[in-house]
Amino acid sequence: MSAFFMTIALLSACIRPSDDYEVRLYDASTELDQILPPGDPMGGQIEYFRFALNGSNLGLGQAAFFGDTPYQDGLSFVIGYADFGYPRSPDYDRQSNFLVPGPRDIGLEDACVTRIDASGYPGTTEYVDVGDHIALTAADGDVIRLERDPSSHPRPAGESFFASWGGTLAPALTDHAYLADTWRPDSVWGLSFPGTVVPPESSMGSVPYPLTAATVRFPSGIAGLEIDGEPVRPPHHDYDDDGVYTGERDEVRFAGPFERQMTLTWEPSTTSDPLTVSLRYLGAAAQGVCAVDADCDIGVSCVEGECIPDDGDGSVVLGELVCTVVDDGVFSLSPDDLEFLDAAVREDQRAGAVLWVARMSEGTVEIPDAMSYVGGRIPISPVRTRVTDVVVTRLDLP
Amino acid sequence: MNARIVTQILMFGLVGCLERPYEPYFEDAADGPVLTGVTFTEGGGFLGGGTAEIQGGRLHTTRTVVVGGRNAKILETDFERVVIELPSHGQTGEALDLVVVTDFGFARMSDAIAYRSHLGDYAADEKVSVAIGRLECPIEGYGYTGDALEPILWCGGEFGYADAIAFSGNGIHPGYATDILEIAPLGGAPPVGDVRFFGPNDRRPPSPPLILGPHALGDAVTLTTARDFDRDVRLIEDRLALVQQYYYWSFAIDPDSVRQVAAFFDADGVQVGQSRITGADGDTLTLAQAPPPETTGVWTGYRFAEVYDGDPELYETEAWVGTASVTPSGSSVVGAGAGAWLEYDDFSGFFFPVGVAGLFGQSEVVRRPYEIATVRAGVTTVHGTVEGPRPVLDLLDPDLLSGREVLRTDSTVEIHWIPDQATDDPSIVVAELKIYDQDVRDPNYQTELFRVVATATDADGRVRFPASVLAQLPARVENRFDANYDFTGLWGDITVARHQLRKVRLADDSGDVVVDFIQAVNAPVGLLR
Repeated sequence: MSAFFMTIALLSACIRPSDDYEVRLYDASTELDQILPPGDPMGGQIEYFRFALNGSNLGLGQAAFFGDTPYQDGLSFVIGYADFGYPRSPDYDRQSNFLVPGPRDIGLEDACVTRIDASGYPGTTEYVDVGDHIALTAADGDVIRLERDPSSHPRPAGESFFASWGGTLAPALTDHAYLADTWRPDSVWGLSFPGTVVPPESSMGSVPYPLTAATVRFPSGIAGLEIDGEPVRPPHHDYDDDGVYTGERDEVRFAGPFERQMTLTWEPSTTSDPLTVSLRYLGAAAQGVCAVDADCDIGVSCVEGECIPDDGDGSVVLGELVCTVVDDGVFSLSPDDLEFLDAAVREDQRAGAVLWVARMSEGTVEIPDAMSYVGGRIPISPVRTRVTDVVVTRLDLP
Repeated sequence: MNARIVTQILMFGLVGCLERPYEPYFEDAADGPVLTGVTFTEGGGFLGGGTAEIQGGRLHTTRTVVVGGRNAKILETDFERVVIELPSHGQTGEALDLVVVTDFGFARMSDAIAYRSHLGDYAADEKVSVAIGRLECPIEGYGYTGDALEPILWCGGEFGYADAIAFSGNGIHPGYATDILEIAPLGGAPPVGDVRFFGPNDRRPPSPPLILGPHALGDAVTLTTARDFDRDVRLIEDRLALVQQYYYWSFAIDPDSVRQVAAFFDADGVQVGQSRITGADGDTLTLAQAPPPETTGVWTGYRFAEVYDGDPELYETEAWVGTASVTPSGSSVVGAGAGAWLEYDDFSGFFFPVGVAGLFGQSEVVRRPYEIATVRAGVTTVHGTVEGPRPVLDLLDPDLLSGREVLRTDSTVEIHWIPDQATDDPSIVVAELKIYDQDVRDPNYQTELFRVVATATDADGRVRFPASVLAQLPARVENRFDANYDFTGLWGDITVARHQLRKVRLADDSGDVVVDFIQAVNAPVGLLR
């Protein structure tokens, strides 16, 4: 008899439209004020980040690429990433491919949250195509394009179920003699895509119409950033301040808040966008095989036949303390703030630590409805947008 | 519970699945557009730029036009027609679908627009894509330090390198063999006889979509031919002749120091010795010193010393141009076949050459018949034989191997070579002129500003960059180093590549193996107007 009722109960699941269902995932904290509300259901995410690797032994692993070496200390670069799907998912609001925001709506008080695993994928059923590129267009006509991957749908398209936009690196450029800006602080850019219809065999949805009237705002830069009075600056290994070759390392490292308070100072912006500060513990990952240290890059040691980064791998984040910080020019972290993070990440697994200081401009855009691959109309607005300037620097674990 | 009741329950329950969770996107399909025909001019082939006129009805509210998944620029619309600019597209062998979206619906026309391929239908059934080739470069590249033009860049006494790669996808990838090695790819080239200019902010050509094939570690694509150490030694002599011709410091080479040498490697890729080469005969290489018994592979090349102020120890150069898997035999080694053993890499989904101790020698690319086989789950299948290429592009001018060419951009630049149409297979030459800004710190190494690409058939023997196109480039590209000998400012770079195509049918008749034998020259060039 119980089988009968169970069958009825299961079959009744068919009698409903697919949509989002709220499941609260609590953060790794027991403090009530550190439990974040669920994200809002959204149908996509468009992110654009500028990274400045202002510290020692920092690589592209920071930007979600696999592996850090060879290190790119001092490099500034941009990367965007976008994808869309239905039904709408809170993950698009809450998650990020690069930096998951800290607590929102903080008012006049800084707030932090500890996360042990901030990775994940949006819980959508079908992904959605919006055209062969997404464009950010400045008022003066400069265009940043996030190209779709794949460039077109493979035919036969039975395996065409996913597309994303961006995911490629580009230099951070402002006022280049020939090239369009790829980064312009404190500016508003148009956001557009051309719309598309996917091949009939594809199992993706699509937005048939262009998006034309949306905008995103680039945040102010992070100016004058210092840690305990020392500037967070790009290292210039091998060269002195005048650009003359010296062959010497120019270490940019900070002690961090592991044993005593660490204070950040910066120049508040005119827009007063809060800062997002993330302290991350990094794990180790092999970056190749070796016989001796000389087989590995600088800052990487040969350990039992494998090149292991001395300071951890930027793509292996074991846990982070993320704070949303009022843009008042000063913020401090103390060892007590790391209590939950230290409790959650085993000390013998911590291979390194980095500090991200970001100014994030979040928004949402309304886009035309998506069309499912069987022709249904599915609203997927709003779509999360996130334009972020990040300075990454190195902290020395005790 | 009997079966009838269960059936009724299931039927009742499944009624729920009939409910459509979403309303139709377009309320009445009868209001949507109608497509009756299309006429088009190809323009730039896969680079796009041609125009198409789409005929039909109710087209006046057209909002989106898609050609093969790529968005077209809408130029004109009225009730009965839409005019578009054709978008760029990755190489494909199929006619592309056309989709028009209006305010009231959309319509699709299948197989509506066919871009003309450089290869015609030659690669229409390309299932396994292989590229193997040699890229030559000057031993030294010149640039300015202050007012002095100096040989600072070091490409090496090998005057280039060989490379190979393969892709075996789940489907057909027409033309992909000519893109995969990314040396002046056909997918980024205009139709034969045309030139395409890309400015700093122009979109670059897209890559084709790929679906990885189901492969496992140990799977391989192989191209094998007979080992001929005589030929390998001639390759060494050929490179040494280039040293005498082009090396700035060749006057200082001690003639007595010049040696043809072989380096021995064991199965782990560890070098276990070296010896002077004393003779070569077919698959046998004779050496002054017997190779260690653990030798499984050799590099072949040369060594010389330069003498300055009577000191022969100061500069010694080694260059390795050949590789071979071998078995020791007294004071000789006996070589296995030449060619490429391309092994599956499960991280990337591509097949890469195994080589000897990490080196894939230039000696593996020869004008001999190659037997093409695949290895899958330990089973080797031979598919057929193709004729090998002429190993190098015989470039007549400009003299790119000098490393110090300056092109006058106020007149048409012509590039000449000796044609090599050994078979009836397609043979196409692509010339790419690029200008980089070396002052940008770029996560992708170099920041490209301009690109000019021209295409010709091999038989043409020449390709042109017209002065009218070159006029869009900066007037002066000097190729300059800063005080630390780092690149600075604008740098010019040119690649001329011949794509010699070959193909065999897969033994299971599911498609073709298409091989692009590439011979290319790449060098820095200055520009002056």
